[in-house]
Amino acid sequence: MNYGIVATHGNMGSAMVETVRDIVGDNGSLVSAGFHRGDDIDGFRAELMDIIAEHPDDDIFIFTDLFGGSCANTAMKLLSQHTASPFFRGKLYGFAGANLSMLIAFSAGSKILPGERLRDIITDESRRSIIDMGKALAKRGVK
Amino acid sequence: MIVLYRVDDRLVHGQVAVGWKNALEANHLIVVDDEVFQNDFDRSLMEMSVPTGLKLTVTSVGEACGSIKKADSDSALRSIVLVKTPDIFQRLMALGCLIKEVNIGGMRFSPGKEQVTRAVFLNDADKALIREMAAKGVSFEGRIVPTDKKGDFLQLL
Repeated sequence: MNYGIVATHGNMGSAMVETVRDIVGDNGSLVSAGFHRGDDIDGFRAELMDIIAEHPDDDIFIFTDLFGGSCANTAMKLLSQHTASPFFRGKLYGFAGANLSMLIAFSAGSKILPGERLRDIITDESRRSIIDMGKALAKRGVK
Repeated sequence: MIVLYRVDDRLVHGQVAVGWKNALEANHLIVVDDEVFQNDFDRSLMEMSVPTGLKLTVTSVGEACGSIKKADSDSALRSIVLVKTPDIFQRLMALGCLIKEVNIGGMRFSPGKEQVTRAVFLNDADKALIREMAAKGVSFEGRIVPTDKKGDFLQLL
């Protein structure tokens, strides 16, 4: 139904996917693709397209690290072009600022929720997960 | 109702508060631990870190059976009972709790313990206690996260 690619600089994506699996288990809905120093950006784009091509009927979520970075820019280009793609019949979603909460929320909903619902849930979850813990402690009067 | 009895020496953390919670559609955690119960700071931290939509009860061993029985008879609750070590469940059974199945999800290494699963280390006393509880009809399984294969934990001892 929904399939996710964590597309990041270096090994960050593979470590995030491994950590998600450690926390909630592996339901087969997430893979990673890493853009390493010295890699060819066209090769990275081709890697993402190959993964997408393996899931022509799924909705694909691409999770990137830094908005404006190479990975997010590549995903952005795919988002803007995918409607013209002959091999892909699903919907493509792209996110920057991926964090563990976002990926766990995706994994939890990937098999049961339609992409349009899931896209809102995962952005809400990831935003809610950013917490200034010192302020949170102070709010509860804990020193 | 109680949906899981779990031994996990980290008590509330991601695998429980997210992984098991999602898989079992749990909405309530019952932490049975005298140390946390008596420590305001630890209890407050635990309350803060529980995700939205998850109710938390922290109780002492002595008072736990009341909380567990109450939760078990409440059809609106789907509760996970968490303890650090299996002997706590043995004590709860002696106090009148009916426990049929226990998930051993995490017991850290310390000298004298050997690895049984990826996250569980036991010494001879732990093993003897688990066998003793099994002889009384409790079944054990050792999944760390819900998607792990559910096997007979006793065969690993």
